[in-house]
Amino acid sequence: MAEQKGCNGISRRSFIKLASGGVIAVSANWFLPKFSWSAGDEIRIGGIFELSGGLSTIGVEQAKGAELAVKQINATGGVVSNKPGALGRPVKLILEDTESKVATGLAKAKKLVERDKVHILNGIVMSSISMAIQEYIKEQKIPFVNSGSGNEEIVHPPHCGRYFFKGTYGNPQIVLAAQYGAKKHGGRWYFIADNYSWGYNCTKFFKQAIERVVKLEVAGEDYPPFNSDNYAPYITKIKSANPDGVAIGVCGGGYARFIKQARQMGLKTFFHHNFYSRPDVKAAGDTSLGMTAGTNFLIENPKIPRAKKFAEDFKAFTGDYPGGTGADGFNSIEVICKAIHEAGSTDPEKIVDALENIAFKEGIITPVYQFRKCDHMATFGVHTIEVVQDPKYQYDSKLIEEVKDPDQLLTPCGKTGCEESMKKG
Amino acid sequence: MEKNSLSFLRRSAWGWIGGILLFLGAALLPLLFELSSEASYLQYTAVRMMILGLYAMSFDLLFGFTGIFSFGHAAAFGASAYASAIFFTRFQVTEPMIVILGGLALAVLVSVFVGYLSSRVGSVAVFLVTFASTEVMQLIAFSNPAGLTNGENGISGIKRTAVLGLFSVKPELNFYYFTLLILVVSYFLLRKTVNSPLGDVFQGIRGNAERVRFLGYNVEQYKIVSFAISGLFAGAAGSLNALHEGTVAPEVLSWFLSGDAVLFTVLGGPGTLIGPILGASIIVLVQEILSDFLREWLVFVGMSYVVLILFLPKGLFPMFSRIFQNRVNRPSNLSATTK
Repeated sequence: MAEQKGCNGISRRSFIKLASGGVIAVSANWFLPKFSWSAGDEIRIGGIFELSGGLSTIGVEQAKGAELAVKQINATGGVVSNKPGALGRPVKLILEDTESKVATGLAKAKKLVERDKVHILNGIVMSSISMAIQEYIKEQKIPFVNSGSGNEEIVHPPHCGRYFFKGTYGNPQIVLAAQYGAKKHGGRWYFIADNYSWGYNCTKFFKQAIERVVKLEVAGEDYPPFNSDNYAPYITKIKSANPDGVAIGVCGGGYARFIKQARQMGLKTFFHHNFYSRPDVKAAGDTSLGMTAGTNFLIENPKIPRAKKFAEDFKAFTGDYPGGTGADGFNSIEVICKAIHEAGSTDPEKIVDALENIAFKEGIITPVYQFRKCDHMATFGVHTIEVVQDPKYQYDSKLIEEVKDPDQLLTPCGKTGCEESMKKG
Repeated sequence: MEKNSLSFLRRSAWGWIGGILLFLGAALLPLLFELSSEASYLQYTAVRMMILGLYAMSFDLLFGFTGIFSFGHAAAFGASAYASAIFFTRFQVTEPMIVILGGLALAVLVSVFVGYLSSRVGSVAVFLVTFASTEVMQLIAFSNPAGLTNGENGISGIKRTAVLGLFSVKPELNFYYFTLLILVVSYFLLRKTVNSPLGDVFQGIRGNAERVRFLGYNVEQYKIVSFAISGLFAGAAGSLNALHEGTVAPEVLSWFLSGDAVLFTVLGGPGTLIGPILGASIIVLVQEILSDFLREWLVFVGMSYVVLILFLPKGLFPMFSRIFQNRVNRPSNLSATTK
C-alpha cells in the first residue's frame, strides 16, 4: 500500500522517522565523548546571564562584555598573558540564559557544571538566582564570580562561602554617590525602590549614606512592584511631599519608565539613581538628563586610560558604547583569567586561592581590583556621575566626584560572620 | 463480533504491555545514563521531566476530564513548594514524607478555596479567577509575611534526607526512583479516579454541565472536588520540586508556570493523563537540546506549538496511540489470530 502523503510530498511516517532520527542524533551528544580539537585544553567558563526576562537590558550588556573579553584574550592574551588564551590554553565562554528565573538559573548552573564541566561560573544579576546557585556551588566546590548583583546580602551568612566571590559593587558602596546630591540639595528625601530585597536594601543604605553628610528627613518611601508599568500613583505622592531629592532604587524595565513618567508628569525634583545603566538611560532619553547616579566605571577616566580603549572596542563589537554592566562583564572575565593564569592551573582550590590574593592593576574599572578575604566582596572606587548629553556617546556619565572611602558602610572584616565558611575543606 | 472483542482484548493487552515497557524503560534509564559522563545531570533533567509531568497530569484532571480551563494551576504547585520549604527551614522538619504531606495539605486547602470561587462563575471568568488567585498568592510570597517566605529571594537550603529514615533521597539517582514511584502511583490513582463513577461525573460536566445538573448532581461541589484532587497531585509535584531544587522562589506562583501546565497538556493530549507527561518531557528535552544551539529557543517552541495546535488539536499522545493501534489492528495481524 502506498504511504499516505501530505501536500508537501513527505509522508507522515517518514516525517516521524526523520524527526525521531534527528532527536536521537542530537541527544547522542550526551553519550558520546566530547569531540573538539582542544576539548581537554580549553579553560571553560560558564557564563549565566539574564538574557531574557525582566533584567535582560543589563544582562545582555553584561554578557556582551564577557564575550568581548574572551575574544580579546583568545586573540592576543590581552592583559592576562603575553600569548593567546590563559595558561597558553584557549578560553571558552559557554553562555546560558537564566530567563530571569531562579529555577532556570539553577538548572543552567547545574548544566554548566555537570554537563559542560566548566572550571568556573560567572555572571548573574538577580540576587535570588545567585543565592540558589551559591548553595549549589558549595556542594560542588566550583568557584563562582558574580559580576552583576548589587545586593550585598549575597555575601552575608548563610550565603557567603569559600567558592563564592562578589565581583561588582554592593549597595553599601554605590549608595555613597548620593551624598553629593544631599550636600547640594538638602536633607529632605523621598525613597522609591523595587518591592524586593535589593530595593529595600537600596533604601536602607541610601539613608545611612545621606545621614553621614546631612540631617536626613524622610519625606516618604514607596516600593512599587518590580518592573511596574505605571508609576503615576507614586509620582503623585512624591509631588505632594515636595522633597529635596528622590533616591531611586528601581531596576529592569522600571528604571527608564519611572524617570520618563515622573518627568512627563512634571516632577522637577532632583533625582539620584542607585546605579548608572547606559541602556536604561538611553531608554529614558532626555528625561534622564541632570540625574546623578553611582557608578564604578567611567569611559573617560583619567586614572584608567584603558577604559576608553575598552569602550571603543565594545562599540566595534556591539554597535554601542558600554555602561557599567558591560564593563563588569568584561572585567570579571579578565579577573577570572588572570587568577587562573596566576594559579597556573584550573584546579578549583588553586583558582580560589588566586582570586583571594589577586591585585588586578590592569583592569578597566579601578586602579587596583581585589576581594576582601573575609567575605570575598570586591572593593574598588565609586564615582558620582551626572547624565549629560554628549555628541559622541549620545548620553554620557560625566564625573562629578570620586567617593571618598567607598568601603565606609561595609560590614567590617571580623564581623561578617563568614569567617568559618571561608576556610578550606 | 468475535473479531471485535478479540481486537479489544488485543488493544487492552497491548496497552498493559506498553505501560509495563514504559515503566521498565524509565526504571532502567539511569543505567543508560551511567554510560554518559553527564549521568548526574541527565538524572537531574529526567527528574525535572517527571515532576513537571506529574504537575501537567494533575492539570489534565481539571482541564482534560472536567473541562475547567484554569489559568492558575501554579497556585497548588507553589503553595505546596512553599509549605514544604517553610516546614524544612523554619520548623526544622527534615523527614521528606512529612515535608511532602505538609505541602499537600496546603495545596488542597488552596485548591478548594480557588475551586469554590471558580465553581460559581462562567467558563471565561474561571480563567480570570484562577489567574488572579495565583497572582495574589505570588504577591503574598513577595511581601514576606511574618518573615516566612523571604520575599523575592525565596527560601533556599532545603536538603534531601532519608525517607522514613530508611531510604536516602540525597543522591540524584535515589531521588530519581523516589520521584518515579510517586509519578507511577499518582498515575494509577488518577486513572482509577477518571474511570470511577466520580470520573464519569467529571467527564459529564466537561460534556454538558447543565445535563449533569438535571440528573441531580451538584455540579459546583463536583468542580470543587476536581480542583481538590487536581491540587493534591499538583501539590505533590510542588513538594518534590522544592526537594529537588533545594530552593523555592516566588516564580513557582507565576502565571508562566500556570501557562506551562496548559502547554504541556495541550501538546501531549488532554484527557489522556499520559499525554501531559509526554508534553512536559518533550518541552524539557527541546529546551535542553535547542538552548545549546539557539538562544531564542522559546520562539521555536512557540511556533511549533501553533503548528501542533493547527494540525494535531488532540495532541501528540493520541496520534502515537493511533499509529500504534493501526499497527496492532493490521488485517494481516488480525487474520493470523482469527485463523
